[in-house]
Amino acid sequence: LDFTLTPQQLELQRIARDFANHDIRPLARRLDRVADPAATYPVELVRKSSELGLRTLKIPVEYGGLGADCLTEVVVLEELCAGDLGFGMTLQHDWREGEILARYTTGEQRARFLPEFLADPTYVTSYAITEPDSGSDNSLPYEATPAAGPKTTAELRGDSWVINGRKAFISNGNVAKMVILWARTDPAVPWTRGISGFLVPTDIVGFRAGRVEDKLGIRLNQNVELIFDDCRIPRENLLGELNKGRQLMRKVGAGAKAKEGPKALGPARAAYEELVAWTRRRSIGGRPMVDEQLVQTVLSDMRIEIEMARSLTWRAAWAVDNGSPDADALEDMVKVGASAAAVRVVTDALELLGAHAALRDNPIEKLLRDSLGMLHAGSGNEIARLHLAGLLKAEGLTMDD
Amino acid sequence: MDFNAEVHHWIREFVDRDVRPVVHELEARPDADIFPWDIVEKANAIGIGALTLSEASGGGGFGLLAAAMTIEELARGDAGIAMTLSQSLHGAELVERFGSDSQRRQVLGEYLANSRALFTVSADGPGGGLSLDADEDATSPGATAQRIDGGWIVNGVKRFVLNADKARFLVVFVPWRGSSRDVLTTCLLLESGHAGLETGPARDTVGRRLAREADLHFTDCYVPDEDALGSGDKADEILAQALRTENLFAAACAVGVAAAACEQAVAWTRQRVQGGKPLIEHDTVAVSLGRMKMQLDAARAYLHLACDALDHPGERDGTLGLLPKVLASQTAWRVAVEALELHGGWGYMREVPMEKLVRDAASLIAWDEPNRQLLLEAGRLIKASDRAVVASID
Repeated sequence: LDFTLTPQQLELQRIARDFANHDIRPLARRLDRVADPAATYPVELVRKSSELGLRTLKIPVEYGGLGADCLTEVVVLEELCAGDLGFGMTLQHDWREGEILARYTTGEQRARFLPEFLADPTYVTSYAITEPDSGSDNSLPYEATPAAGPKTTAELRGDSWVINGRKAFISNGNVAKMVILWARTDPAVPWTRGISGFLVPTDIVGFRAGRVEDKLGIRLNQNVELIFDDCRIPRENLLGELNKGRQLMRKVGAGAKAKEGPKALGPARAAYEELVAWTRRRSIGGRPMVDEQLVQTVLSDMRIEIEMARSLTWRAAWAVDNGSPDADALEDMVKVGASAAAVRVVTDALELLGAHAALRDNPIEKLLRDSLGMLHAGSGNEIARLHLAGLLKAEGLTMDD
Repeated sequence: MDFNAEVHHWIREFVDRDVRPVVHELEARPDADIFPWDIVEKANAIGIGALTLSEASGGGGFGLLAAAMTIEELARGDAGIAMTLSQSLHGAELVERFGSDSQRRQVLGEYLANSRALFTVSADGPGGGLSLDADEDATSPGATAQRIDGGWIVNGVKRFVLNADKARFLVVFVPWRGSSRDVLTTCLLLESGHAGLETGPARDTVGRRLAREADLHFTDCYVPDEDALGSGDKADEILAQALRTENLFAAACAVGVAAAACEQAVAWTRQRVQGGKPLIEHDTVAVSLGRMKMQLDAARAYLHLACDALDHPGERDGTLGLLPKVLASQTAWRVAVEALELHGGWGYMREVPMEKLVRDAASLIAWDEPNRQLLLEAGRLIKASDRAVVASID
């Protein structure tokens, strides 16, 4: 058991922390207040993250990236999300989809798409499965009827796949240059057996980004409707094997739920830091607030939540990196535990600050709105609990090794 | 007249007809200056503002319990509207109870005649504890009064005042130091436009955005004795009542938000299909709905218990003026967050009327005295009480 980070991890953590403090947080506070949800994309932060090497964190070293493992990802992502959760989410897509372009493509596909991803400092990506009527049914695959699950279809006509349908709430959907799309290639069977992945460059005819959702928080990350209207992509853009999309999704999604941990920890930690600063600065009856018992116990509670969530997150990331058989279950625990902890932390901050916390000028107000988004990010917590229960049942629900 | 089903029904009708359909669009505007005069006028035109005045004064003659039920109904429609109108219910009642004959005649006369005549009641706690405004900013100290011959001079700032620049009448509690150097309180009844009184910009808040909140700035503001509310020795009694009422009305707002969140959760889970059937047919969802209802009913019952006790003469448990607000605001927050979870990603989108309830609930936890302060005060009352801590219900 060794929680010591490597020199490279520490260096990346420091780079990400400085970036968050100097660039992300000040810009995010301004953009968060912009009323038009389509006008909050921080392209300059994406560019800067390319300069710092953070955008290509997950690209293998042989292609010029850092080849980071899951633990490195969660360490860096916590720092970015402490600056702004929405921006961290945007960059996280480059990590996952960049890794797909590098590792899960054919040599021909890689040669076609990876150079642009690496060369363009503002290249961001999307991952599109969710649709208006299929959210939880994708996370906890509902297979009783072929009508459930995603409805977007891809049909092979000649040398092209013709895509029709709509995706909902897709992160980066209006700014992405590449969408990793999941579409039904055999609508006659349950979606888990008839879905495939596709590489869809967004400058293609028949594709357009629709409505940008106006959201409670996480406003720097846009959730966008994607519209495919007889959208034709070359036959060669099929990702992986036909109708084996579900298996591929699981492969590329390894570690995804572990990263819900740092996303929840980011705003929770920022709230804790804000509260520490506030209670040091303010006094009651001439005594610093931080010296009051009632403040001290709240700060302790917040810190306990954060440290427990971080420990579990790191353990899950370690399990992912080491191919441990309990990785999937630990990731579910992170998803539920860290998001619930984050909401408890911001609730504590809200109760302690009182009226100040409700003011839009107060940083806590934004952290409150942002952290609530973690309850449904990735999947709903209840869905993650049920998924976890399935895994635990399969292994007999015991804690014996 | 009882606050019977009929009165309750017409308030609900008003909320469903004149509040709910418009507030969603109105409160989503980014500008903090979105005060809903139209709704205020309609509410007062049908007599909501007069409910707590005596029938002799032309009101409904209802007590705290009826007021709390009214505020809950209003908050089902919008927490901000409920807070706005609750200030008037509260202020008018203080004037009727503690005002001089001429204050009652003049102020209540105008209040009942003018549907735009709102009150504000600015009653800070006695300070200390975790009242965070205490030492907020040395450059703008809290308002204090100085006794002069025939009146008062007020200087400083009252923070987070509801209806501040929209109110026609302002009931303001201001501390002052008597000859013994003890901190005493004076209660002033001012009209808008009073010389030396200005309001700061509207505060932009996360939720209950239709309620106006701003600071009151006093600069050498002279208030003659005849504009004080109640004679000097009454001020502490008025303040105690005002704080109690503020807390209970805040609790009523929170119960309304919790009720709205429960309704929204039920409507959503009936309609949304995942896993092959409506969400409401899934066991874990059913348990969530049960838990939400249980918390709502418990918070409402506690509030009604407190209001009913205060509506009747006799010795009271002082914690009833403090703790229902803690339970109700925590309940509103928990229920709203649980309802949000049931909505999945949809609940986070402004298009669905869920995220507004979460923001409103956040604002209610944060409204008025922080919850830990209320718990602390309750603990001190328990300590000071010679009665058994566990109150029995006769």
